[in-house]
Amino acid sequence: MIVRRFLSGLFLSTLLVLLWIPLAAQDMKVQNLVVEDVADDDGTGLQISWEPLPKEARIIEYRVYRGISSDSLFYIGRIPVNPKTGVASDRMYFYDKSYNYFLDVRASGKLKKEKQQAPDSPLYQELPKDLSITGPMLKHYRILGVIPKKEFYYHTTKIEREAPAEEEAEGDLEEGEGEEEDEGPEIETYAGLAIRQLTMYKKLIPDHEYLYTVLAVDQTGKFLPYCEPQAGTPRNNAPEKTKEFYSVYVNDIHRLQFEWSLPLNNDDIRSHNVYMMHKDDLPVFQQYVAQLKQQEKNLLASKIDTSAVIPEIENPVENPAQRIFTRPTAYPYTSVKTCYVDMTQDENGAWAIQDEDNRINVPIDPEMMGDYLFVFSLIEYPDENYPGFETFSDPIVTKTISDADLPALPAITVEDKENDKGDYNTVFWGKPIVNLTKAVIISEDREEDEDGELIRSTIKKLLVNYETQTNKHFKIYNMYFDVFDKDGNQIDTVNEFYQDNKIKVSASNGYNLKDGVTISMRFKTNHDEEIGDDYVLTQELFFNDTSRSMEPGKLMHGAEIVDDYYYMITKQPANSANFREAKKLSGFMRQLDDTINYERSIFKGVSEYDADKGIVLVSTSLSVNYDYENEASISIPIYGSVLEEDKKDAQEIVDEYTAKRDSAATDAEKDHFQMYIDHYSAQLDNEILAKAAQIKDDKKRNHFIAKIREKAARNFKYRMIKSDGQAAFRMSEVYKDAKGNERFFPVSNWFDTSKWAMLIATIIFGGMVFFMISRARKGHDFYLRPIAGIEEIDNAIGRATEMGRPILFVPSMSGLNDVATLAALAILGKVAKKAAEYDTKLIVPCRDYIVMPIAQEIVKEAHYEAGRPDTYDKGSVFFLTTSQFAYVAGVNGIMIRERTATNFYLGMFYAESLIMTETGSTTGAIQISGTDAVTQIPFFITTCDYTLIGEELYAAAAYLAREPLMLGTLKAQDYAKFIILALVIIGTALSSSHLTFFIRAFPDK
Amino acid sequence: MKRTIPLLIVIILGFTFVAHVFIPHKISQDFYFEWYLVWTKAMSPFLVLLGVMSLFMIHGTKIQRKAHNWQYSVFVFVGLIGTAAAGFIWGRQDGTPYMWIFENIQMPLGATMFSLLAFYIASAAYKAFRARSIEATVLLVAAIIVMLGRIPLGAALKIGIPETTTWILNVPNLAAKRGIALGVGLGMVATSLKIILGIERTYLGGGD
Repeated sequence: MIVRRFLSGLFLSTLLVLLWIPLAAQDMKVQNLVVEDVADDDGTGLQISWEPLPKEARIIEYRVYRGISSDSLFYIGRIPVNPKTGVASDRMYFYDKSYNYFLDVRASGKLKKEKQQAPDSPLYQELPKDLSITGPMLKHYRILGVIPKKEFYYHTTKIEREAPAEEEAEGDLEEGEGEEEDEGPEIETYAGLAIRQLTMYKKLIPDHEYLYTVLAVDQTGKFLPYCEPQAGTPRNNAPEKTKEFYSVYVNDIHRLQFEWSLPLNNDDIRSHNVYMMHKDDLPVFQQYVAQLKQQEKNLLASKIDTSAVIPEIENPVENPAQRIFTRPTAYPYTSVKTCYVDMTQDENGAWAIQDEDNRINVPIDPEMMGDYLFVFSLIEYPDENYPGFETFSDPIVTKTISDADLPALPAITVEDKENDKGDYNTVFWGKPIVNLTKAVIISEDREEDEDGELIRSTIKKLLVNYETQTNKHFKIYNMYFDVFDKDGNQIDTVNEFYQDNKIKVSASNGYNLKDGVTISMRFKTNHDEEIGDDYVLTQELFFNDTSRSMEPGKLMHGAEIVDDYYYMITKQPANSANFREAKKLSGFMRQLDDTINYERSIFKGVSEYDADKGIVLVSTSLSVNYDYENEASISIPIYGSVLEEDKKDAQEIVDEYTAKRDSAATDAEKDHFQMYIDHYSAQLDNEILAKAAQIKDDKKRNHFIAKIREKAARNFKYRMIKSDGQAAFRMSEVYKDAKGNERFFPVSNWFDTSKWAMLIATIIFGGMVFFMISRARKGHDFYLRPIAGIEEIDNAIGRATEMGRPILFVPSMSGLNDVATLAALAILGKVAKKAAEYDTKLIVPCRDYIVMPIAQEIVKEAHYEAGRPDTYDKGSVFFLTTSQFAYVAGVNGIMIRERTATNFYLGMFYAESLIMTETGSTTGAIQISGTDAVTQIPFFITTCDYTLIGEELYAAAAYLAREPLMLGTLKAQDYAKFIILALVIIGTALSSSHLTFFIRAFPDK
Repeated sequence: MKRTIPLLIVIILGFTFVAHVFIPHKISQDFYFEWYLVWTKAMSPFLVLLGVMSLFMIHGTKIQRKAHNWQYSVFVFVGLIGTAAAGFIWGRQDGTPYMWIFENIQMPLGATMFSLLAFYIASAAYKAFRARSIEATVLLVAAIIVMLGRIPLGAALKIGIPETTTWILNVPNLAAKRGIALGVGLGMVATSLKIILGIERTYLGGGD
């Protein structure tokens, strides 16, 4: 009978599985594959698109392949698809742009043909680690190697070889590398790295042709035929036009301010520029912009068709606008998007905008500002194929304001963040802010007519939510909310001694709050003298008829609308000449924890390789600092011999140019040679280079280099900008602390001072444990509160023995990382020993595979201790499943099949607790449970005979053992609870009397 | 030796992790995130293997011995091997046999077990709310108020039931929960201390 049932069950299961298998998709190819250049980018992006196959094909993914010749295309990515819904759109898109994965240790060792392909198929799986295959591909891409710091400093192979004829590959984020002018073959030193030591990312190269194909995979895993490969060539385009550009002229300080936004693609932008022109020059400027566009078009046309004859631009015009500001971008970081230029007046009274460094000297008439137009431009990096396109914004007229119209800028303070691992600086400013966020009507009188229509309503009480923002300087003790009606009469006041982010507002004089209220907000802080009595924030609450609710208006500080401004924190590392954006924050914010990550990886361009040795080659030099005096980045090679060589070369150049300078005929020639002498002398005299050269051991020198480099990269100057987003901003000076330091380096801390209370509590508790243990050892008899659940354990085991049925022990649903599981296992030891003594079967189904072997060992040891090793059955402690409800089903099945007489549920439990205990209850088993899961305790109490609540679970093992060591800890727990309770009562009593000093003495967390 | 070495490991690492809580320094953070967590991840596949081996041993023995209800063990193997094979052969994406098994067998069965909870809650509530004593009566009244406060009817009665519900949940209920949590916290610390100091050694297997 059973066999027949089993067979019919098996048949049904097989049928179910067969029913699932769908008809194989027809051999459908992806259609209309198109490869196009991505618009407005840096010439490294291609867009691949195709028509998706119909839903009926049950496609699970589209796989994309790329190659540089049609005979070998390598898998580069996939787009997963839901086979039930298919693809809703007409076309699917895959973007091959920016730096994305090229090769690392995860790649296959050998070249592998793609699955299910014919022998002549050009499709291969990912590029292999085998450099004899992947190496030749490197020159077709711009490769960026991301090398773990330690690998680059300490585990590279020094390789010397003849330098390649062409220039070094770009893509290296390091600056200032190699400035040799000498020509002819020379021996170059590289750092060699095995593939396992780095991850390579790639960018396409402008004007190189790439081939792509796509195939679909259906849900049976079948690879459908690939479509005909299509070629595409990425082209460098001019940057996209800036959409937002604002200007103000601050007439009393003769300052022009600008603010702008940046386009999406800005990787190749070299500089941000502002130009000025007279309104009359606009037609010529427009002609010039059109001319630039035409030049760009012509250049691209000549690249697409090299044989095409490109007509010359007729009557080219010069740009009539004059550059008044230029600044290099902070790439790869976010650039600052504001600037200002000051006008200067000469002795003749003529005004001009001057910047010697950038050779700017543009006359301007402050009285005629309305006659000028301003444009913003983005200029790309030029290269051998492209001149470096420039794109202009639409011209705008400046808005004239006065200095008083600019926002008031609070002073900033910068400090190393406390209690961190050294990866944050804290920047804070201003006074605390409170902002009303929501108002809920909690009491309303409604008058309705006979039909239930609302005639009139009076809002009597509101629950208003607020948010506070403060910084490390100001600690808010109390807040005072004064409520005024629309006529300015005070109708309520609320003192928030304990800030729970909500207040109740009611009208004392019968005023209908629906008519609108104004709430003014004041603070009591730890620095009341700095806050001042006049620091009041106000915000209105008005009734919205549509939503029939009270809504907060804008937050006001005097005449300033706080919401309308943002703060921008900018910073400059010691290894760069530029400030960059640290964070843009809303006008409510008062503090920024600026993340300053430790350097983990070094970024290097990769273009060379050695297939025999299986290594790729990268440049040996590293930018370590910035020489502000000579305006040059300082680079050091990681090999001592190269450093020596560089030094020798620099000395030779200095000697050579000194001789040339001395024999030069003109001052101009002398100046020219002197420039070179200064540059290379600066290298020779540089303190860091000199120190590095003194260290002979490569490892020690690289340790020194790493330290200097990290110090420079993580050492910042800070400034703050407060702006309305439309160029009305004020910028602070670089922050200097009391000692005059203007650079801030985050320090790694050895003790978290916010945890002193925790440490003291732990020490006190630990001391109490030791004290109680020693007392217990001396024979002191501790009174222990009787816990019914624990005392009944013996009886429950005895019951199972008498009935001749097994005991079930469920040892927690969580893993060993949960202390409750450890407590449950401690109890298991006692239960197993008793069960072994009574020769009663104990079943322990485990949900966690780490708990299982430990439970097995505990039960085994218990049998040995009981002197019954022969009765130990390893199969009685077993792994069931990790799935929550499958585990419940398994445990319930055991209860019903084995008819267990006693069930123990001890440890951590979740939603399954009730399902298990109710089943146990129906089988008539005596049930003892214990958990620290507060949400499950009620279920256990209602369905089990005895329940260990919370801490009783932890006490159970000690209670059962009755040993001094264990009892001592229990007693210490009781005394610790007494102390905590006393503190809670004192804190509650004092806080209720508005005496908050006691609770403030404890840390917030 | 069998117990001393593990005990030493526990004591040393126990104190190390206690120190880690108070030390934010990079060395301490790197020890935890770049050493401990990495090793934990590396070890877990081997531990899964232990679980799977246990399943094979228990159910293999049952089938071999033709133990009572041994047919269920066959289903365990069919499920275990079938699901694993489906995952290995066809992957785990949407539409693959593995996902079909997960969505059409595992999920409904899990949901079925979970749905039982609704009925069991009703039966547990009946047991709990029988007003056989003063405490049970208080519980019953509190439960009725909380239940009414969560439905529109409670608000419609206009006798402050939603407010009372909020008060019950935020004051006596929260106080009791925090009281339990306090005891649990201390119990955890005490248990951890016992383990670190080697007072509690049951987890090493057996009693002392």
